[in-house]
Amino acid sequence: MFEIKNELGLHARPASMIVQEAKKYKSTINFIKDGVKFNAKSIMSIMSMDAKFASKFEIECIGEDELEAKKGIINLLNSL
Amino acid sequence: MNEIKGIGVSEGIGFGKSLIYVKEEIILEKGKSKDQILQLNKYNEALKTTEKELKHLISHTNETMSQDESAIFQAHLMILDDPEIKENIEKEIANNEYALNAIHKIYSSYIDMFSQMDNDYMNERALDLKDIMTKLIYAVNGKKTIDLSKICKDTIIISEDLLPSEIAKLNKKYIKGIVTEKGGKTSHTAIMARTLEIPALVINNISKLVKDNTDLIIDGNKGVLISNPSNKQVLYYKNTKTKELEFKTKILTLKNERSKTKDNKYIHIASNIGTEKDLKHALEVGAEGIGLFRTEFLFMDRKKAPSEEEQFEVYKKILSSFPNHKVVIRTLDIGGDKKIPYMDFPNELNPFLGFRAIRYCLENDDVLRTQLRALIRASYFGNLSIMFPMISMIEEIRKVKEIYNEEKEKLQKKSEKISNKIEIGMMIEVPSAAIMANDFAKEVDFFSIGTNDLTQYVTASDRMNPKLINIYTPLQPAVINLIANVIKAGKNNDIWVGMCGEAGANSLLLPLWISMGIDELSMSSSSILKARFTMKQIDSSKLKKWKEKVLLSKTLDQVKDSLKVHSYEN
Repeated sequence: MFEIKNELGLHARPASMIVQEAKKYKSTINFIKDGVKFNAKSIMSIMSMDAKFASKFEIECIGEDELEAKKGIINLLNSL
Repeated sequence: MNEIKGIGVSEGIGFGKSLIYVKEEIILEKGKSKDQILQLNKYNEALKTTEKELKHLISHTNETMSQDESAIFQAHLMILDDPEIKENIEKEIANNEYALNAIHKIYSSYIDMFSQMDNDYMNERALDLKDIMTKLIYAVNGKKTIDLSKICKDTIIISEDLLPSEIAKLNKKYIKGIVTEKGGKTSHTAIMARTLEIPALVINNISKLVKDNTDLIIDGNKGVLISNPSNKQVLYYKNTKTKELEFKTKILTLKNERSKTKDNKYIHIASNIGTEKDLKHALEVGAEGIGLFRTEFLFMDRKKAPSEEEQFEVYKKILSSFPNHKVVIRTLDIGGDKKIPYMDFPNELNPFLGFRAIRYCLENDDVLRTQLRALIRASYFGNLSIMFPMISMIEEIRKVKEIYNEEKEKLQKKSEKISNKIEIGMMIEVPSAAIMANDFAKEVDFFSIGTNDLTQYVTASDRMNPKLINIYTPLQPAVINLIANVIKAGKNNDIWVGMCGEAGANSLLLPLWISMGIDELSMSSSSILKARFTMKQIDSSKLKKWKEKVLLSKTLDQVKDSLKVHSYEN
């Protein structure tokens, strides 16, 4: 479970950074919030999450480079 | 003949290339498409066109503006290329939707979702999406959108009409003139153009008379547009512009003087403002207070009404900017030609005679109460006069005073700091109020005559219709006689009378208002110094007989001829 520490939540700028990072990997990358899946390679999907400060979600990576993908995304999320 | 006659609505001379600015209404296709492949190609082509347009904007804004500006278009590019949006639009097309309808449907669903989030930042993103959607739809239709804020060569904009939000985006450095097909001297476009000091004209059918990228000279003083000017014309207008600039420099010296006539009669010349940007301009020209703050601009271009706190801060700022002068703040004046999406306005056959301004506020008194609380609290920081618009019956002014007193008492109980000399006044813009001015004067501390609407209602002529300029004019004998009666009613009841319509800045009429005993004139900041200059030449002690003659005029021509006797051309 990942918790958002950025006070503004995942607004447009962090969302676009996540998309840029996610597109580096072949794997499918989803964020799962309140049982709903959001595609990390789609800025609209991330922005639709309406993820505010302290929102919690899971990160799911499926594919040949899933381990690197998960690491890369978590590193980025921690830096926001 | 390369001269096109029009109506000058904002003075000044400008030189530039024409830019025909056409806004297409989005008209959806009816029914279903029969050719999925054609529609998919249309969508893909539109994507390419829009991508190219955005990339061009990115490199252009990188050169002319800041990184922040280009970052906006970078984000737009990412949204355009978004897999989720693309997939959804393609699905719609596969279900036999037209490309245009598919784009509109999918983007609208996101726009609605973002608009409804409880988050201002996300609400604003809905505007970004709207922007991208419009570009895509234009591209599907084979048209291009123009971003007015990105113009960076000397340009004269030609358009059917410009919205206040579009004018607000204009860069004064490059926009040398505006020509619209709709509007008149008192339309919002004209008022804003005057505030920005951009020459403006209204010319019927102009977009059919001038081609894109033509050399133009705009003359807002005479109401003329010249296409492909000769060398002789260019020289003449360059000289005229130089003289204008010299005059502007000359009157700039009056900035720190008080406004008075030749025989030392002081009359306040205050400023009409709508935004904080206007406030800066008012201070720069040495306005003697604010005669009209149009609060509706605080409510426009947003998703919900401003909170009491937000309003309080704005009012406080304006009041503290003028510690020695009155600041007249008008309560929300919407309806007519000013609609606010999040407020529930019915569509009406006659919005100008409809459910607007104080009529709306009395029915939805929570809006009015919030505004009054913010105003009463801000009163502590200056000399506040509250003005109610569109009052047409005694019952209305009594009702608003009752609401005002209730809110004031509540705040006093909370020991809020409140000024003990807040004035309550009303606009005189409806004939019923003007006719009954003597009774209304017993209810309020001041009148402010709104000549734009008063003229419209007295002469039953639409102020936006260019065909009616000879009927819709404050020079009408009926209008000037009614105004004389309003001022007299004010004097008889010891209240002050101001004027906040455009007629107050009309140098031909200035001696007449002075002769009638007007106490305050409020106008666009750009007109203040010229009016102060004109006033200095007027000897008010010699106007009485002349005024009586003007008031006896039966026709418009008689009024014009009488006014010429006391004309003070620069």
